[in-house]
Amino acid sequence: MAELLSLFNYQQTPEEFLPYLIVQSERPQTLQSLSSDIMQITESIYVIDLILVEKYWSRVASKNNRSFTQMIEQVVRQEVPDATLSLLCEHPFQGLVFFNHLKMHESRGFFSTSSLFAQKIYKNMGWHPWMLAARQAHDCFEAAHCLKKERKNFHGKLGQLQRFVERLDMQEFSGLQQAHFFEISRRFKGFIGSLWRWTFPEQQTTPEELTLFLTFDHYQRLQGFPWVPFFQDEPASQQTLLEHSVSDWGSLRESLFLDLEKLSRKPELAPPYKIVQMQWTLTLYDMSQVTETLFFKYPLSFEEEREREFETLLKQLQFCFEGFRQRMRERDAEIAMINTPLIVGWLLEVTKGFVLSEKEGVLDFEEQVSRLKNIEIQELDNKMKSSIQTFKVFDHFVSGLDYQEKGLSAKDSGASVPLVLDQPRPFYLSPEEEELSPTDIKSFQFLDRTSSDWWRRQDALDSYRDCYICELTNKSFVFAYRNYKGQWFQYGL
Amino acid sequence: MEAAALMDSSVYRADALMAQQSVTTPRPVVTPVPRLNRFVRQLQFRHQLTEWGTPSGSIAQVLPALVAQAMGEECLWVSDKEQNKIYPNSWSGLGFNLNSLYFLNESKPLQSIRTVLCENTFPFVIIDIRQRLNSADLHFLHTAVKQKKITIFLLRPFYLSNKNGNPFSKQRINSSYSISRKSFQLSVVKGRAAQKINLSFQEVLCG
Repeated sequence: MAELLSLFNYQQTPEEFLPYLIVQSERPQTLQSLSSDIMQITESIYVIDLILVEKYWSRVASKNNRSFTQMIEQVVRQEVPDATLSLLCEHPFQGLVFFNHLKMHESRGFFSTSSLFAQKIYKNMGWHPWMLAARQAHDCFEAAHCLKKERKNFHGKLGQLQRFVERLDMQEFSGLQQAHFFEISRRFKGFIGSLWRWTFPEQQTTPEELTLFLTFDHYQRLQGFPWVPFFQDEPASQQTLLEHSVSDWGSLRESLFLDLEKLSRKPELAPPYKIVQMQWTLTLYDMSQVTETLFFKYPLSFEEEREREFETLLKQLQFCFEGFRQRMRERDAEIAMINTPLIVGWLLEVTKGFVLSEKEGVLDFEEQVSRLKNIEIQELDNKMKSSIQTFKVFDHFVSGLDYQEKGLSAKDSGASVPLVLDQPRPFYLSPEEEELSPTDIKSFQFLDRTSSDWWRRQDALDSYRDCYICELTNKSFVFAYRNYKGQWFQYGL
Repeated sequence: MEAAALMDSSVYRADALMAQQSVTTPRPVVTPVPRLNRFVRQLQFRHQLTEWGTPSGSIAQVLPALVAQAMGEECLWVSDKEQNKIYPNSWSGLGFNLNSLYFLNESKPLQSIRTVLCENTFPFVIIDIRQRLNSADLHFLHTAVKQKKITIFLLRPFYLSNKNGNPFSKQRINSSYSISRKSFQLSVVKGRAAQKINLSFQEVLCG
C-alpha cells in the first residue's frame, strides 16, 4: 500500500523535460525561432537542441499559462508552418526511430516520447524504422566525417543484424532491449552498439543552472552521439587588436564597451534575435589564445542591452576576465609576473542565439506587478555568477522527496501552505552525513524520531533516526541523528 | 514594436512601484511569539541595517528568521555555504511564503551582494555569511540601506560585543540558544530595547 501511495504521488511531479525536437521542414531558417542548436539529419529532417533555451521557453510558457511541451508545440505550429510532423524526445536517435515509424504510418501532428501512448508504441515498433534511422544516422555522420573508425563496414554489419533478427523471428526491436549495448557492439561493431545504446537512452538530468563558467556536458546527455551543428550564417563577431597590451579590467572595459556598441549595430543581431551564448577569444602577449564562453541564463536582446549600456554583458565579461586572470596568476606564479595577463587583442563572437517571434517577445500589458518583478529578478539573475534559487515544499507525501527547486518564473500552484513547525529543522543540509564521535558532543537535546522508507529496508530498525541538536566541544551547534546502533551522524548546520 | 512595448512596460512598472510606495505604511512586526513581539516593538528594522550575532548555527537564527518572516516582504537570503544544500522546509516551517523567498548560495557572495543591492530588486536582503566584512563592505551596506531604502539583516556566526563596534548598523543583537536551559536568549548590544530576554524552546517553536 505504501509503495502504491508513493507511486501515485510521483504522478504529480512536474512534466519531464525532453531536450530534443525532431522536425521535418523544407525551410531550416524558420527553425531558428526555437533554438540556435540545430542538426541536419537528412535533407528535410532536423534535430533541435532545446537545452540552452529551456529556461526561456519555460518562462514564456509560464507567462502564457502553458506547459513547456504545449508552448513548444504552439511555436512549431506558428513559426514552422510546413512542419506537419514533429516529435519531442529524450535522445536524437531514439527520436529518429520514432519519427520514421510515425512517417511510415503517415501520422501528422506533434508527439512526445514521454507520453504513455508513445511509450506503448515504442515497445511494439518493428525493425524497419530502426534500420532506416540507422542508415540515416550513418549517412549524416559520413557527410560530417564523424566516427570513421566505428562506422567501418557498417552496411555489412547492419545486414548481419537484420539476418540475425530474422532468424530469431523477432518482429519488434524491443525484444532485444535486455541486450546490453556492449554485447551488441562486440557482435556487430561499435557503431551499431552505439546506435543500440541511443535507442534506449539512459535517463540524464540537466543541471538546474547553467552557471557562467560551467559548460553543460552535452556529450553526457547525447551519450556519444556526435552533434553536427547546422550553420546557416557566419556568427556575428567583432575583432580588436590593441596597440598596447592591457592587464586590468578598467582598461579592458572601455574597449569592450566600444566593441559591444559596434556588435549591437550588426543587422543580424537586431531584434527579434536574442543571444544565448558568446565566445571571447583573448590573444595574449605571447600570441597564445584563450577562449572564454559566456552563457546567458535568459536570452538577451542586444538592442535592450545597448539601452542599458551593456550592463549585463559587461558584468558577465568581467566574471570571465576575473576567472581567467586567476587561472593565469596561478599558471605564472613561479615567474612572478606582476601584471599577468597581458592582453593584446580579442575576438568577440555571438555563437548562439535565436530568432524570437514578436508574439512571444512582447510583454503582456495586463501582467501583474509580481510578474514584472519576476522579470526584474530574471534580469538580475543574468548578471550574477551563481543563480538565484526558489523552492516549493510539497503539501503531500512524496517518498524520498519533500521539496523541489522551481524556476524563477514557475507559476504558483496555489497559496503556500505553511507547515506547523513543532521541531526546528536545519537551514542547511550537509552534502553527506558525517559520522560524529560521541566525545565530540558536549551536550544534546532530543527533537524527534523519524522512520521513513522502512518498507524498502531489509532491517526495519535501520530506518529509525533519533534527531538531536548537538553542541560540539568546539562550541558549534549542529543537527545530528543517532541510529539504533548508537552511532551519531551530522546531517545539518 | 518590442522596444515600444518595453518602454510602456517600464512606465507601467514605475507607476506600479510609485503607487506601491505611496500606500505603504510601516506595519508593526508581529511574530507568533507574543513576548518576542514586545521585545522587538522598540526596534526599527525597516530600511535599516541590523546585525545579528548568531553563534549557535541554524537554531540561533530561528529568532531573526521569525522577525524576517513577520516583516512580510519579498526577501533574498544570501549565504556562503555553497557546499551545503539549502533545506527550504525549515523556512516553510517558520511560516515563510516560499513564493516570496529567494536564495543565493555561493562561496564568495560579496560581489553578488553588491550587484543585488545596486539593482535594488529586493526590498529585504538577509546576509548569512561567515566571511569577514571590512569597513568598506559595511559602509556599502549602510549606503544601500540609506539610499535605496533596503532592509538588511546581517547574520554573523559569533557573539557581537561592544569591544568591536559597528557604526554602520542601527541595531546589534545577539541571538543564542542554550541546550542545558532549553531556551533562546536575545540581548541587545546596540539599539533601543530591553537589554535581554529569555524565550523557552516551547514558547518559540510550539507557540
